[in-house]
Amino acid sequence: MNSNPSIIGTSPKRVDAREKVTGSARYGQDLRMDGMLFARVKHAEYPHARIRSIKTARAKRLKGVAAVVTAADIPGNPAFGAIIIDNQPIAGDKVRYLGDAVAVVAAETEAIAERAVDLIEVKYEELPGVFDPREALKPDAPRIHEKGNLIVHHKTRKGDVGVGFGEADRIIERSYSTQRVEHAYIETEVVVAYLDPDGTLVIKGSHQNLFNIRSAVAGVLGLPLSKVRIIQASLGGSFGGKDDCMAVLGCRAGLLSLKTARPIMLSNSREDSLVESYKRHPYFLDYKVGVKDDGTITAMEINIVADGGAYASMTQFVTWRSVVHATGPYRVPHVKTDIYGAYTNNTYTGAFRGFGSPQITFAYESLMDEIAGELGMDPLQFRLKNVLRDNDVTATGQKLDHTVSVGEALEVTTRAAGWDEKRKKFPEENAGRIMKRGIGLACSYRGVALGAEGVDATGAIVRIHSDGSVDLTTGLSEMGQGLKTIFSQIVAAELGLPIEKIQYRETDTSTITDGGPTVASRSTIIGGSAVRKAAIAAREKLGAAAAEKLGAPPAKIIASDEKIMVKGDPVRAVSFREAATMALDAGMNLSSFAWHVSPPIWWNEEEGRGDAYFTYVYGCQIAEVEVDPETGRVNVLEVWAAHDVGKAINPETVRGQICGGVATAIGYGLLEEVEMVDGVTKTMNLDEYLIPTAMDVGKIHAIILENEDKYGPYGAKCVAEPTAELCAAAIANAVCHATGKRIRDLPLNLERIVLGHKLVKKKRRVR
Amino acid sequence: MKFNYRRAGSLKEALEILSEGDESLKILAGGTDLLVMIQDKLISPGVLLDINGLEELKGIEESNGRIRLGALVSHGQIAADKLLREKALPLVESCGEVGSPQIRNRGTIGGNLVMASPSGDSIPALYVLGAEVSLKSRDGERVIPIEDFFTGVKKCVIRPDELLISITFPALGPDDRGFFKKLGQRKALAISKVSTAAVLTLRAGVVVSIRIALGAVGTTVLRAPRTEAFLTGKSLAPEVITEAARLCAEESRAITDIRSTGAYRDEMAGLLLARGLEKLA
Amino acid sequence: MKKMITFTINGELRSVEVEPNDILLHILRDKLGVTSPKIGCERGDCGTCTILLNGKSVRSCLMLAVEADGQEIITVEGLSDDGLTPLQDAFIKHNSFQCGFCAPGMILAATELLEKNPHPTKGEVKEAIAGNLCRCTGYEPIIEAVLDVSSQSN
Repeated sequence: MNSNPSIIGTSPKRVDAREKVTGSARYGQDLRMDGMLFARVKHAEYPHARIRSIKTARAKRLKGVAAVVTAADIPGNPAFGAIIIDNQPIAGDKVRYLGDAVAVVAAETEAIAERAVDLIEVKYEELPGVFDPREALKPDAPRIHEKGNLIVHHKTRKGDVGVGFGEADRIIERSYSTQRVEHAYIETEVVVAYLDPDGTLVIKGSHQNLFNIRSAVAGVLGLPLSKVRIIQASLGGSFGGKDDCMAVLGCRAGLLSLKTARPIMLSNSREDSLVESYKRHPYFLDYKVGVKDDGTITAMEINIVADGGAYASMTQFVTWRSVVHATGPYRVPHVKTDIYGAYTNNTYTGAFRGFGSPQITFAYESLMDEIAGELGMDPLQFRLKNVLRDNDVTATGQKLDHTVSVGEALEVTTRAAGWDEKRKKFPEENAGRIMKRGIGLACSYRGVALGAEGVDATGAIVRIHSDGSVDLTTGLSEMGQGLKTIFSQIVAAELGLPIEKIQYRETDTSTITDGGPTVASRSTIIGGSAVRKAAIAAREKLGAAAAEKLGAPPAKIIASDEKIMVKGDPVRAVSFREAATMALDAGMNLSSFAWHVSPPIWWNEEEGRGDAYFTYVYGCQIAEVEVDPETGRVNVLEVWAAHDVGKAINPETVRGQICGGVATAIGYGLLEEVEMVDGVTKTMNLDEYLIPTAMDVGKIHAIILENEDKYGPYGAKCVAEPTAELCAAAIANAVCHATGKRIRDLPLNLERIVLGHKLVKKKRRVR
Repeated sequence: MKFNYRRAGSLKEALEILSEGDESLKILAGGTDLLVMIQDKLISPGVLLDINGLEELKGIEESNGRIRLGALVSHGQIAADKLLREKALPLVESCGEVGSPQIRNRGTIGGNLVMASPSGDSIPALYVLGAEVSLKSRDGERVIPIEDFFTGVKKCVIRPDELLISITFPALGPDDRGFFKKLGQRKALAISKVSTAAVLTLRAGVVVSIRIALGAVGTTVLRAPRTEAFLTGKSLAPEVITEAARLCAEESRAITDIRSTGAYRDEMAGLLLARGLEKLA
Repeated sequence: MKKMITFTINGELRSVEVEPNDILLHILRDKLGVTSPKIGCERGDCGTCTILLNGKSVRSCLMLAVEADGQEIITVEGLSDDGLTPLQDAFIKHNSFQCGFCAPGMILAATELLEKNPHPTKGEVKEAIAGNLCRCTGYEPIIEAVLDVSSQSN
């Protein structure tokens, strides 16, 4: 039995469109419940200190205060963590950054809770802090966690770099650095925790990864997983950012709800969010490359240190993605890469759209331009000479058995942007003008989905009702990317229904098995595959039920145009609704659950090699900029962004991902930095943490490349993250083309372009 | 943040209330800075006196070659005003760059002055326009030249019993030119790292007189007297402009703070001046 | 010292008792159930709390509720009595939102622009929405939607 997938590759109206343009979508902060209390957090007053005592009596006595909890009230594990269990929702003996909580208050109003927080007295013994990951790894550094400050060391090894450097005509060494940045979702983190009458603790809120949060809350509060239910409210942006920090909020609010038996709302102010929630890792990157005079790369040796902040969070996985991809999409016969993640007393760092790739892409793509410059080659030609092609072997020793399209992406993008002409023309024209034009490119490859981080599997439930309407449930999250629409399209395609017939149910851990997090750009390829399987299974039941009436074998029956019909004979048909009723009357189960597991991969951590991901995507972005060399202002005029997504199930949402990813990367390249001095956050709100406005983003040309992948639904792979990993490097290369200045540290803000160094801020204590 | 609220029905009533001497009273106009300061707990007023109903404090008028702005005129009104575009261009340019459209719709020119932030964008423009500020109390009215109005970061000479009611300045004449230029980290919704405003009288290509003011470089907006003196009597030849920019950067002596460094600000103060002058040459 | 205030919200006359220090945004959301203005920064920097006050877009996080007494407020809920405005339709058509959190404020800022200036240039559109931060879309699809509405009107 077949489907009618004409809706695949089209862009129907988003299924969440109306609620979002009329203001009726309900986000976490819109939730209200009878008897609800409001919680506020007493934060640490030192970035590194031992807690000597906490006095909460005065706070508890304040009228309107319902409860004050400290670590002593936690019934379960003191900490949680996806990989290393070190993140303490309420600190017990020690605080490790200024975002740590020492106590949490619930009161009738937020104002009362805030006053109560001020009445809590905490005595500390201040400990020396460490704020630079390179310092943290020295033997005499203050120890932040008992096992020391090294969170992880990953490596890749291929060939023998000694041999590779020996074959080189030139050795080029460069160092780069990237800054700490904030997701800056416009909605800050929020939860409402309440107890169902059956004793289930429900936590509804701005969750990205519901099952991670459930594990954390259950562990910390000492509850079975079945007694914790996480429900997602409409999510006001996440970009990787509403994971661990939501677990923290869930534990705190959940504890207060257990204590008071009342609903608790805990929402972070923007200031709380900037101090408390995790950021993108700052990296320090040293590259050494051997290259022949003809432009052939012979070896790369890479050393990277990442600032993990106070807790490990995703540092192990973020740095693993970096170590796999650190050479960029190039044929490098000899590779030696080491990456270290270190604890510091800074705000902890974790997942942020890109997940360890924006940092390395900035470094290796800046470097590729620098090498091309040394060799006197055009950056495009130099890359085309070295990029991975079909059946090439990556830095981790993986042979690529799919269409390797980085070369195609380079060619398509440079053609669209008028590369050859502009590379030649701009320097000539710049001689006579103040504002300098430049054009720069960056390309990358990216492993799709979780790779060897762990089991990559997820489920979907399709339920056909007697009237022919359909419910779809998965454990994955809509964050704005369009997941509900794409999944609904897949079901509509397989069942031959208009998309309006499909209802995507809100994501709720009590409705489906743990299908992993909505991360790693895995939703379409892993989740979409599960949805498709579930829809096909449901359709086959309908086909079986209708086969007898239609007088045709099930294999000859298709679902199309809201009918179940005999293929090639549309007169022999019953309506979808009739078929559903028939099947139900025949006692059939029209609910199907499907599970999809990713194809096998392997990784040898000891030897630093393996087939890290089952497939890869490729992309190229070009930035055309205008630089005012006197003020340092960089105007990004146009960006061409080509991404091979396998198959664009919904081209408009693909374009949306590309435009959004580019804008985020423009902010990363030019504006953004969470400034911390000795553990103190200086950029406390959106007046100082500057993300791009509409005036700061130029014209974006989204170019969709489609080389279908055997592992993806309809050939689809992914798009979300690769879009955000390229543009900062492309801008840096364009600025260099315009001005001749090579800037190796992000962001390329005004001072840096004019003076060549960053602003040195005065120390100021804010808390 | 608990406070009381009073709304003045007339200027007389407002001045009466101010004369009561309640030190915890703060005046509420557009609220775009005041409410942020309250949220940040930088101030905790006992009473807010809402003056938005005072018609006497509204309106843009010209008479006898002078322009009068009521203190409650919003940045948005100024930015869109035809008369001001013709006769007070630096002010129009500065108000058009304040915050966002929503902030400009609410934020008032009077509020921008009494907040006395060195990065308040309207201030350098009013310096070079030679503005005067009218402060009224129950006991009378005094008129203060704008350069005498500010005494430090977020400090000015206004007394607690006084209300800033209007700003007046001479309309620019046919030989007068002016500009306001600012640099922020991003292109909108950005507080100035540095700003430069100038008004000059040009006759037969020669600078007859010039006033230059620099924003966000010090504790108050600063004039650049040496640069002004240098330019007076000269034509705006390229080498003159280059020297003026150098002098201006030299006398800026800007501070380093969260938004920029002194070195960068100094250089930009001169550069923005040069860029403005080049357009007039 | 509580005070009863009355104002028109989305065409309906509503009275509500407020404290002098109550912020308009919170009264709209908590007392009147008008939740489309969102809390993003509470200091005027993100634009997601934007409302139309007497036809002009303002930050409701930087206004006291008492200041709204006697005024007229429109939020995205009240833009149209029946169905969607052309701009809302265009937002859907151009995929001009993703998470949707900035959409209410963004739509109001663009509505104000189109009222004042039915045929804005691309630059004018960018300026008009520069006070409304969006982290998802890269702004391009929003600008397209506004220009699309402009091109369809006379």
